[in-house]
Amino acid sequence: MIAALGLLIGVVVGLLVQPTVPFWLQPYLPIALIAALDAVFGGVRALLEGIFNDKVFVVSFVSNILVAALVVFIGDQIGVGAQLSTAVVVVLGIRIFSNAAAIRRQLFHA
Amino acid sequence: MAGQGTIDGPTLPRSAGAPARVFGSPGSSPRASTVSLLDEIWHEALDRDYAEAARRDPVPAAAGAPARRRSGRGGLLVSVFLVILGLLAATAVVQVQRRAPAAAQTRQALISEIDQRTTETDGLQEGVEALRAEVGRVRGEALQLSDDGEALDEKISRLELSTGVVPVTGPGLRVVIDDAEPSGSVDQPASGGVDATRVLDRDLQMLVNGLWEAGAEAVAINGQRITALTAIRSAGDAILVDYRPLSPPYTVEAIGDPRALEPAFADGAAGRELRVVKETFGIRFDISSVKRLELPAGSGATLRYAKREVKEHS
Repeated sequence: MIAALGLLIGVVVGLLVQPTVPFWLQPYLPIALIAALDAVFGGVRALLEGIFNDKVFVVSFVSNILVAALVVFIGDQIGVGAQLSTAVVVVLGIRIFSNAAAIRRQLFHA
Repeated sequence: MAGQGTIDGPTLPRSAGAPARVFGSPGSSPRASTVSLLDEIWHEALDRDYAEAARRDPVPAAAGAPARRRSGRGGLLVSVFLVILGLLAATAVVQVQRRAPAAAQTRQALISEIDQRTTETDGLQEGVEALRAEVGRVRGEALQLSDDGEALDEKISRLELSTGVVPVTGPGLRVVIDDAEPSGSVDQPASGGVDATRVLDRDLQMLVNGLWEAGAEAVAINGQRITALTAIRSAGDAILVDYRPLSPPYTVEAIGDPRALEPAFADGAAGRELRVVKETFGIRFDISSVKRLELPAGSGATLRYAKREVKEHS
């Protein structure tokens, strides 16, 4: 409950403050968001399966964002940034769907 | 990560696992059962570390009181990161929305600037035409004073007529050509950048050349007179005639023998080509005879560098 509240607070603060993202960081923002979403879906699934662990969640959250951003950054440096962002989005998207399916099953069958 | 290297560790929450797995054999080794990369991504969507941590430290899930104690500190940590997630999401959305109007504004500014400059050019062009008419009138008056002058005046007006620096009128042909209907039913090359369902500069070039070939004496596109110095070319998606952007439909008017012009054009290479373009790409065109056409004067009559050879002037 507190966590959901935190999410809401984050959104509200973000909408109110409207922080300016430095130009060099802009391409990584959506990727970071997808990576973070993946971590959150994983966390929710783990929570429903009764094995949630906050330390694992935080580590996966941070490492997801960093790795995704790093992959895209390297891609940008060698000229395949757009393709690698697509790859990251596809892989994380599949994971999100998979976790969402597991969450759905947990909620409606268990 | 911690559990990445260990083969024997539980890959997925077996405890809760059975319903969570749709396919793949749960008994065999997870490495062997993954037939493809996508399968692997799908089946290992949940970080292995959760299961690993649960196996190592099953207390919080089992007992109530310690779990509560943990969730006090851990819940706060998780909340902090969810705040970060919310921030990220809101910022990303704001960023995208902020960028869109900026692009639209730039576009709008460019469009209005183009309109303004075009109007300016139109005004200047009108001024040029008025002045040119004035010059012609004054020159005519001056030349009327002598017999030689009168002959020269006649010669000048004949040359003016054929070089297209004066407006002309006469019977002729009107060809209206337009892009294909934007239905998308016609095949168009997906790549290559050129949308063949649109009228291209070379279509207009072909059309104008066909009209000259058929015996046209004066040609104009959308009110832009074609002279010996007029270029028909494209810049981006726009077609420029005499360096002025035109937009479809393009009306090509040609003055010439009303009975000979149309059949000669339709039977010529350009006419055939146009029919092919029409059938293949759906470009629409329409040819009609007109009893009286009025074509404006061409603009580019001032030669700054090309000089007449001296001895030719006799």
